[in-house]
Amino acid sequence: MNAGLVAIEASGLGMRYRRGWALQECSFRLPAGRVCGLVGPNGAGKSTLLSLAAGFGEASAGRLRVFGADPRTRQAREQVGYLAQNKPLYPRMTVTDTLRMGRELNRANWDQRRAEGIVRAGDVPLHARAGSLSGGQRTRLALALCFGKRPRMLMLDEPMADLDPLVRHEMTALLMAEAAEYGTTVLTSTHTLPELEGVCDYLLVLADGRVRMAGEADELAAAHSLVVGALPAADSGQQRKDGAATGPVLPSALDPHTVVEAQVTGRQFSALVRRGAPLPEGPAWSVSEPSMEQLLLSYLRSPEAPALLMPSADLPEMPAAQLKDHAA
Amino acid sequence: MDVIKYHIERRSGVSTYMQIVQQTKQALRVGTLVPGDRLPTAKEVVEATAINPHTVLKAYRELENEGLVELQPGRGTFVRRGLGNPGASDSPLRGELAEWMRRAAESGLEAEDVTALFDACRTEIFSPDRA
Amino acid sequence: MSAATLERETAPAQRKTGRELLHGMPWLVWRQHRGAVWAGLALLVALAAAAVYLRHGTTTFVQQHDIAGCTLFSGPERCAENQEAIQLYRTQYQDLVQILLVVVLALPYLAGLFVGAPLVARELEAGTHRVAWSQSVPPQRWLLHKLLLPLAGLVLLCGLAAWLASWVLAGAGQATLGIYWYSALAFAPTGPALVGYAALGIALGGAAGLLIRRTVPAMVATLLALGGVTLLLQFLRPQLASPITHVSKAVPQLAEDSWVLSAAQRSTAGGETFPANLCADARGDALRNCLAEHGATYYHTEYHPLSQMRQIQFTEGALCLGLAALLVALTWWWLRRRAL
Repeated sequence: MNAGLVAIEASGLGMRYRRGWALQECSFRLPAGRVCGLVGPNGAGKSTLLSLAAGFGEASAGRLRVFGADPRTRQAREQVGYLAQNKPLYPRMTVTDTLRMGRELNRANWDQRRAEGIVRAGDVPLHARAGSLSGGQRTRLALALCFGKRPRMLMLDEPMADLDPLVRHEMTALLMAEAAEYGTTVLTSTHTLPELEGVCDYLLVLADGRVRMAGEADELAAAHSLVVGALPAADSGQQRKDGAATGPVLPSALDPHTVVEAQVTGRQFSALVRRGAPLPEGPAWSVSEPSMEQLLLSYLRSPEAPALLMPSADLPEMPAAQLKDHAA
Repeated sequence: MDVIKYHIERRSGVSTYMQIVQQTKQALRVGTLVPGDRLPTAKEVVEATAINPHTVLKAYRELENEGLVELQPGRGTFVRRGLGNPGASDSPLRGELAEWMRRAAESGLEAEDVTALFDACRTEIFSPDRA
Repeated sequence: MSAATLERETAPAQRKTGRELLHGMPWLVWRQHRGAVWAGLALLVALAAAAVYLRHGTTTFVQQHDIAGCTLFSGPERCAENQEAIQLYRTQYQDLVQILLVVVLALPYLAGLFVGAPLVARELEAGTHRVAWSQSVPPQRWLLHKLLLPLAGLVLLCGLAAWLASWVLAGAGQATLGIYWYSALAFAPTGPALVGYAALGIALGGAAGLLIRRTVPAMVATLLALGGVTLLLQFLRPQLASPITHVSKAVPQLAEDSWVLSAAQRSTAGGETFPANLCADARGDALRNCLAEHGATYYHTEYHPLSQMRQIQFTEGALCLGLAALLVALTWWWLRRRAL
């Protein structure tokens, strides 16, 4: 439905606040039509990236485009729905007034029936003030405000953070149903991983203001292997994998692959590697595909490992090799 | 009216789309899904399970590739054929397996040993490398 | 039938009949500040009532006691007999008119404090600006509407209030009542300067709100800044129009409502003035000789007559408006290049 379209394209994007760089040399693409998880620890730059893409300010460096337009232009604003962190709403406005605000401030593309439908489906009292609603109702109203705008892309900053599991499930279902019906691109940030399981088909991982990983969720996992086995004897001619004196001595069979993270416990090692070639089971180790959680944790724990961008997330004019240099 | 309701277990380690495929096949085996039934739309599944709509479509494509369902554009996804029911109590395979398990029990194997042995053999026979 | 279905049926009908005069950002600004608008209108009605009462009371009193144009210790012949009436007039009405002037004078400060400073600061503090910015309206447009619409409303309110105060003072007679246009209390509230101060109050409040991003500190900053500008302009005020220089052989008889900048001072014909203590010790002929020695045979006076009042008030108001415009432009520019 959106084949070939790019929702977000960042090249060399940087944002500096007084405290320092919140984003640095970020280059990636988000293809349209994806449900993308924006993952990273607190302070990784997720909110900064989202608010820049929502047109809330000017980047300090680089370039950011939303559907090909500068995010601060009206053209881009009309195409993007943005739910900021903590889901702000005017607390003294009634639900009806909040939706009227959506209509008044999005006059080109407001869909009152869609917005009202979302609110009504949750039995949100229309004449209650937004400030008096429950967490789930507030989220529903905020989502109604976003979807009423008929956005091509919806960006959500930690939308489920303050919700109980039941409401979280309900809101995720609402989000996914809208995305399914309208083909909306979704970019949702979180620092709690389980929130994303089964939801995202695309991932963008940030750490320390840089892109660590971007691409199709299943392909990212499939490109890696988790190798668990016995360490080779220290004197049997094996080389140290990472050159460090204290580094674990891994089997030479792992040499063609990029070791993202390796842990040694007694005589056993476990390594998460990005395969450079087929990696069969060995006599002394077993190979399995890592779970998304294992993969993410490994990348976040190993800042020195090179960033990984799948071809769909990579900028054609900026080869991955160059990006790796930047990230290293 | 829904003919099948998917239950997604997020922490099971089995990928979401594979869970949909497996649950559909299970329904085909036990006969709760019969040829001609319309599978729920991606939106309906997503509303109930809060999963990614692309996952549902991917699972349906997989089922279509196996010839089990048929995507009719604009109408929906329909079941083309059911699956045989090897679990019926009069099946000769079941009888042989039951006989084997009785012997395993007599030779002192615990239930867990049997499962491990069963899994190992299954991996050996059905692993993709062999196929 | 449930309440929800009932609502579903009546809602579109309401939408059709309900008058929707305002759209877009003006609607949002109205929706957020309609309480303040009603309060402002109520205040205006109260001021108008007070003004009508005072104007009627003072003009009636002046007519009944025939003290029009009179003042204490001077004025036409008939005034000399009515000194007691003037005293009574002043005790009865001076305080009341002063209270009116204080209230009107306070308007720009209250506007800056309670309208200007919270305009942006409260939104930034609560994060609600993100609601508006997530819609299709760019932040700069949002800011201009947020600032300029309340500013226009307050300019209108203060313009009307100043006109009322000026109307009261003109009816009461400055000299008779003993409240003069050039006093710190009467200058701003009775003329167009008030409009400038109102605009400046909102602009300062908006800028402080955007920079400080917290309501109470922004209010304090607004009050301090507006107070500072007031003091500065009060200091500059005499220079806002060129005063009339009067050189004469006799002590000049100036109108009671003239703003005398430098009282009659000895000077030469050329206008060169001497210190006040020139020939202070001399008496009689000695004094005359002493003065003649210095060539100080004239009196030199500088003053603003009543006819210059509007010019000075307009100039001060224009200065404030210019400052306000500059601040709004700076605020706009600052928002353009900041991420919030």
